[in-house]
Amino acid sequence: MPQWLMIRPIFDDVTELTFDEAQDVLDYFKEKGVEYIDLGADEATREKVEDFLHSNPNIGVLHYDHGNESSWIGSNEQPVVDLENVHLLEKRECYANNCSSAKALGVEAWKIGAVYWGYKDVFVFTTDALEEFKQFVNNGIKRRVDGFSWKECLEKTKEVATLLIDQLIKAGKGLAASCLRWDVDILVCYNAESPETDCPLRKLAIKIFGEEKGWHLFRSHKEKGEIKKISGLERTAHNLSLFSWAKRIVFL
Amino acid sequence: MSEKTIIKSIEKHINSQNNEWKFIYGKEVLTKQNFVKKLNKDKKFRAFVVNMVINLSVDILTRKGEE
Repeated sequence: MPQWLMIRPIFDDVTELTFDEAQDVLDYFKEKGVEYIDLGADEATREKVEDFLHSNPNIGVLHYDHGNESSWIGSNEQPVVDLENVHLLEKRECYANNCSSAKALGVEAWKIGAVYWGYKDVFVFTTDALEEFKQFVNNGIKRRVDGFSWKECLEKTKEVATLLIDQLIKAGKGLAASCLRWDVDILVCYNAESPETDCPLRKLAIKIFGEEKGWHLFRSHKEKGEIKKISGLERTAHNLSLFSWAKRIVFL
Repeated sequence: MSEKTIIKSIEKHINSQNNEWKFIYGKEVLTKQNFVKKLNKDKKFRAFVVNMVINLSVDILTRKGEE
C-alpha cells in the first residue's frame, strides 16, 4: 500500500533539477522501505493526480516542480492541483517543493485539515550549490520518514540550513548562502505553525475567536491575492461582509 | 554601506564564478551576464537581491556564539 504520491514533471531546465531532487527523496523512501507512487515527467497530469488522490484518501503527496500562489504545476505546464480541486488535499500531509504555493493554496489546504510544508514566496538558488539546496529542500520529508513530528522536522531543517549557510560562506559562495537564508525565511509548515495574515480584521478575529474559528469566518481579498482580479462589485460585497463581521465583533 | 557598494560587491562575486554559473529566480534562469544586466536594470530585482544579502549579514550579526 503506497504511503506517498510523488508528482515531478519535467519541461524546462529548472524542472530537470527539481526532478533530480525528487529522485533523492525516492531513493530515501526505498532505503527506508516506504512505498510510493511516482508520477514523473509526462505522467504528472491533472487527470492522473486527481484519480490517484481520489482513490487513495490516506496517502501524503509531494510536489517537486514550479508552483505559484494558488497552484502546483504539472506536465504540459498545466496546474495539477489548484483552488478548484484543493479539496483533494483534505487531511493529507502535503510537501510542496515549489514557489509560493504556501501563500494561498497552502492556507486553503490547511483550513481543511492538511499539513502543508511549502514556501510562501519565490524560491531562489544558484547552481554552484545544488547539493546544499537539495539537502535543504529534502530534509523535512526525510526527517518525517525518520519518525519526527512536523514541528521537529521544521526545526531540524532550519538547523541544517544554518549549517549549510556556514559551509557556503566558508566556501566563498556568499550569494548562494544569501539565497538559502531567503529560502529558510519563506519556508513554512502549516500545522507546526499557523499561517500569517495581513488582513487586520482577520488578525482581530483570530485574537478573539482563536486560530480555528478566526480563519474560517471570511476570506479576505488580500488572502485571495493574485488568484483572480476582483471586480468592483466583489470588493463592495467584501467590504460589506467585513463591516458586518466588525459589527458582530463590536456587539459581542 | 550604500546600495551601490553592495551591488558592486555582488557583481565582483558573480564575475568570479565560472561561466556555467546560473541564478534561478522562480521560473527564471539567469546566466552571469543576464544576472548582472537584470541587477542593473530591474529595480525590484535589485532590491530583492540587496535585501537578501543584507538579511544574511543581519543573520550572522545576530547569531549567538557557541558556548
